[in-house]
Amino acid sequence: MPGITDEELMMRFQTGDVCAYELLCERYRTPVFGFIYRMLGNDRGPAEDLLQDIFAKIAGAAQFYEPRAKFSTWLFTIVRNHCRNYLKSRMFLQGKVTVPMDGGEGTGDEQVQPRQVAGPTDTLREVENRETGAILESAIGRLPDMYREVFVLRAVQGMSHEDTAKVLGLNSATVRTHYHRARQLLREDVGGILGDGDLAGGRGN
Amino acid sequence: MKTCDKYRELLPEFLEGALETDAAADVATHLADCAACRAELGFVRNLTAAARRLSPPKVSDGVVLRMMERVRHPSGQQRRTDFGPVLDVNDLAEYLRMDMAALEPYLADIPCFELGGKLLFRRQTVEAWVQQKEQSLGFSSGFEGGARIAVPESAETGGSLWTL
Repeated sequence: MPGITDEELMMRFQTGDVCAYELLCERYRTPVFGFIYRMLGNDRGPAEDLLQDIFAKIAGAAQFYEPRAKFSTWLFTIVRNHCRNYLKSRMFLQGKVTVPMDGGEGTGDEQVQPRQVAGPTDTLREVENRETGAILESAIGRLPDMYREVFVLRAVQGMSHEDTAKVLGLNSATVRTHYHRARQLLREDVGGILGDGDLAGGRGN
Repeated sequence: MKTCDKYRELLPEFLEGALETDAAADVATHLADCAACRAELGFVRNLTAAARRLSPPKVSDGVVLRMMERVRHPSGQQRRTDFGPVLDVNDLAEYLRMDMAALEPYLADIPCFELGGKLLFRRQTVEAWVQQKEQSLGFSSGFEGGARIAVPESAETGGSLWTL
């Protein structure tokens, strides 16, 4: 069913077509897992549990989906809220409940991804891209949650500005500010390896 | 007059062609005059390209299988909801959807009574305790924030700490 929209699939599922929902899971499991994984500081186990919980819960509550809402935005809103609740509960368990998540400095246990070893058929560019990717991935993991979620949705997932604002329940200006702040922090952290960071022309006003 | 920071906030949408014509022209005019913002534009382009190239973390096959199994047979995953007015410790763990080890640190905090050597909890009291926790922590429902979904009354009777 490649030509069928997400919204149509969800409506089919509402009338009992489980295959339609399986296809939606297939379409979205990678981007959703990517978001959860990064929001949880690259913590695979809890991210996999959360992924299963979310898709199972959405299946159980599918009758509440309203087709006028864009499915991807609806889905990521739920995913994001689950991540927030998980992070809050983890902070509680770690005795950090007095630190508001929105102003937090990351989850505190971000893991640096191991760098992959180059294979014999890799071109130099592929190796460089992978190394840059590993460095960038761990820098994203060091971003405070409020900036990381915007960066992952906008830059990594390629979500539009408007959809990101809807998913995060933020106004347009705040999304812009958070995304800009995320880029500033990444520039301070890993700007050197990405190049074109030449500020010789001045500091701006 | 806009500061460079205000222009820089707009650079991703400028690159995506998502700005209105007037706003895009305003950014383009500023870029023509500001070398620092032109350099920033290059950085945004490189950073975005590198971010889009990041490999998505792979979901392991076992997880996909379990996930699809739960979707196909949700009944197997449903938890007990038919709790009576009094719970023992095991009931409480199930009621709160926690395992015993995780529940243990909270036991001293949850009002209880002892009868015949058994530690018991009134469900109503536990619900009040949960409500107090919810209020003090300001937790939100997973479906808030524009998800436009209602949780049926019956789903609430499970009384879990972390709702949908």
